[in-house]
Amino acid sequence: MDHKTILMDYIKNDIMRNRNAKLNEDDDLLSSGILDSLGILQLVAFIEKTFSIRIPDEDVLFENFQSVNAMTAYLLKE
Amino acid sequence: MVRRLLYINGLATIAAVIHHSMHWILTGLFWWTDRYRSVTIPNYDELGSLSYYGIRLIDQLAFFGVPAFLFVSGFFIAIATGSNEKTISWKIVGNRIKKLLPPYFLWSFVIILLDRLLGTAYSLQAITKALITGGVAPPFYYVPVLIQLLILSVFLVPLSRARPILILVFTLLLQIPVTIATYTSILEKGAADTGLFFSIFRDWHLPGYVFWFVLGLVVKFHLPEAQKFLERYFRLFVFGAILTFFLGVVEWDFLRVLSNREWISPQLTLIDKVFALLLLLVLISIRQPQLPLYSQLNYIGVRSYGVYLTHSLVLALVAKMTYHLFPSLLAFPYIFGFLLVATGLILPLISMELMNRSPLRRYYQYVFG
Repeated sequence: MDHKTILMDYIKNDIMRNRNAKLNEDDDLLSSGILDSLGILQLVAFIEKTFSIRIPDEDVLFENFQSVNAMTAYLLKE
Repeated sequence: MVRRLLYINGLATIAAVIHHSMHWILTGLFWWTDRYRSVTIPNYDELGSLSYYGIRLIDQLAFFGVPAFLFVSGFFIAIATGSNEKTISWKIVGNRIKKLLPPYFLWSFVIILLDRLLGTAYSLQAITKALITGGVAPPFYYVPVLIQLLILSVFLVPLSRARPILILVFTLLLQIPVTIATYTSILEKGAADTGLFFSIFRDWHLPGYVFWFVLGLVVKFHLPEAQKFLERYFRLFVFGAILTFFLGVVEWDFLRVLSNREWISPQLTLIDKVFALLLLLVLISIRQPQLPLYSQLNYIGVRSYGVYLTHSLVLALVAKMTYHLFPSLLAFPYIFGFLLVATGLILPLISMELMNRSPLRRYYQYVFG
């Protein structure tokens, strides 16, 4: 599975708690309320564990977590 | 630091459960004494005993719960603002509030309904007031405070970014009237003597808690400087936290003697706040990558809002069941306390897990957040 699919699955299943939820790759996860404080922290922990990378504190930014596409772009850059 | 926030949230959740269990442990010790000994109540024989100080020490440690929650919330608002935005968008604030309210109202109504079944009826006016102020259950004041802070964050974000020291000092200065109001209230001068100005600071939680939220904003917006500061003074924070931890217990007994009352319920005093701040700074400064019980505390941290809203109900039920069915257990505060903390934590977590695995999981956010 590619990064995008893994992230989409995780957000739908573990954060939105609805496998069939409608979620587009460009949806603004923060403005739409899908991600809250704990959601972001959960996602950081998930990404670090799943992709075996370490996200520096200064990279936990709105721009990197705004959407699935933004997260994928950040992961590819890393 | 970011990956440690869930862990801190987990610790804060346990701290909140411990802190609210204390109310029942002390009730068992002083006001329900006649259930296991032939004495008249209230009975303060245990005051000053080893059990009493043991309980007070544990409770003292638990004071940092709500400050830690607010710090994490402020940190999140800073993340959600975006590097090029002047302030947080109303849309994010609105959606955050929309997510907080349904579980808050649900559990408030459950408690009101249970009270009604047990014979306590409230007027519509009293219910409305309790919902607005968070007065339905002792821990619920946190939700209206957080909502007010989220609304204020639109103004706090630009200030925290541009003038971090100024906003920190200002919110610290707000502690002066809050502290005067707290101490005056403890020493039983009464609202009439305190005056309206100090009464507002005593009864309105926002001025006393805004500092923690702002601290979260400032730390995230000025992360490199904050990390340097935390690293530099780490040992001082550890020393200060240990010192204020014990000072807080001594201060409480001193205030009790000064107030000429046999007993007063522990409240957040100035020393407790300094302790909470230093402990929080120690926790965010620790560089150790793997902390004890890391995954377990992260698990609890993710579920903090659900546990927070439901634990007081569980504690009340368990305490009242113990009173009626196993009163002799009340004579053993550590066992009774362990029972309260374990059930106050585990029952909400089991309920959340069951709902998460059931076909109802899509409604989970409306029940547990």
